[in-house]
Amino acid sequence: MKKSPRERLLPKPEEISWERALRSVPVPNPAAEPQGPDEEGLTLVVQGRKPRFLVPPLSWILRPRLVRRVRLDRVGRDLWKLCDGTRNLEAVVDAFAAANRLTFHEARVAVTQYLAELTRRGVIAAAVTQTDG
Amino acid sequence: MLPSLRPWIWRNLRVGVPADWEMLRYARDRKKGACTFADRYQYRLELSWREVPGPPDFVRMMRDYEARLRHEADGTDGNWKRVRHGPWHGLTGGGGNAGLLRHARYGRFVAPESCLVELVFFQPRKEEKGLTAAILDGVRAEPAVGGDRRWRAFGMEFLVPEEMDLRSCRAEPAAVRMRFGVGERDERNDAFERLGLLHYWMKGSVSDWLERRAGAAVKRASAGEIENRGHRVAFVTGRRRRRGGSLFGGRWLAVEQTAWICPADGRLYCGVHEFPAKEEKAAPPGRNMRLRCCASLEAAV
Repeated sequence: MKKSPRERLLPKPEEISWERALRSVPVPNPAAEPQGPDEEGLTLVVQGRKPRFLVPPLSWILRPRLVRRVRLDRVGRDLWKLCDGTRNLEAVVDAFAAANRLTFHEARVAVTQYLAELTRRGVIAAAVTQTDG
Repeated sequence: MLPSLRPWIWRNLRVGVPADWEMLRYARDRKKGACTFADRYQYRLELSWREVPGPPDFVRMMRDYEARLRHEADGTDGNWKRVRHGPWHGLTGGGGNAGLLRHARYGRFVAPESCLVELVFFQPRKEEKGLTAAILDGVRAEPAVGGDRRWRAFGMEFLVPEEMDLRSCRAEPAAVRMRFGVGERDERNDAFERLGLLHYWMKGSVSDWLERRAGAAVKRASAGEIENRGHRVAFVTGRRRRRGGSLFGGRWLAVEQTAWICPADGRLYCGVHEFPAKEEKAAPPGRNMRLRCCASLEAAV
């Protein structure tokens, strides 16, 4: 059966609403240390945690890399600076839009796509409030 | 106080929406489709169209729609109310026990385009009657300009020949590209681009960028830059070989490309016009395509 516009356009009950997502706060991973920003971007050094199972004698044999390096391009570098844990996503989008002369939704799509990638790579986490209130 | 409305023209339909509403969904089909606008928090307006042979029976249409809404709400109240606004037939309501969002739906027949136009307003906070009325009043068919159709979308305003259809549209953050074509193989086509975030990716001048964009496939006839009302406009003209063209003169397309950075918004604008090379002499130069970036410049390719 064909869906009405209302059915197609409104968020499903289990989804985080658009407005609520904008209120979430991107928080940088405290274990990620920026290494000297350069012209082309920024390198983050992320200190990983040793897995629990890694105890002697297993740890004598397996030596996983506990330090990861995440390279950010110039967009990522600018976003990393904006995501200082004090601004919510809406404020980050607004700041990014103003700095780059973008519309709100252009900036929103760019920022959320980029932050999703940074979240996947473990340098950013998003704090979402429990309720809409 | 009503916000100022900014016009969008899509498929010959002009609609004015608040300046902070943006088009997030769109359809290319002339016969049937919809565009959706959103403010920063949610979808606010859906504009849909459907070509019909004549004016539909609005009374019956609204009755059916109301019945369907009541069915969806499982019989709970939605306070649906039929309304009229000029030529618009509408139904407004929602927000009842079923937790439905308050919305209003209006429809009218637009005779010059022979299509049924519907607007669905989503009104989450409170009903904005003044805004709804202003938007409804602003919807109309955009008249042709000397055989061309005007489009105004995603920060661009341009004219394309009436017979051309929108073949593709990609609206990504700071990168919009719309391509129009006519004929089976799009032997005539116009493309318009608007790109942003230039300081992140653009190296060199606009001429350099345009040269790279044209690539080696275009055999240059001319290239250069001209000053036009405070805009430094780069251009490339030439020919390129078309795949699958006929042996007798149909293998080449004449190519005209132009690009510039608008100082008003810092975006890179680009227009591309291609047509069969055998018609090159017949085509009056600069008539075929117009792309406008701001009030001060409408550049001809």
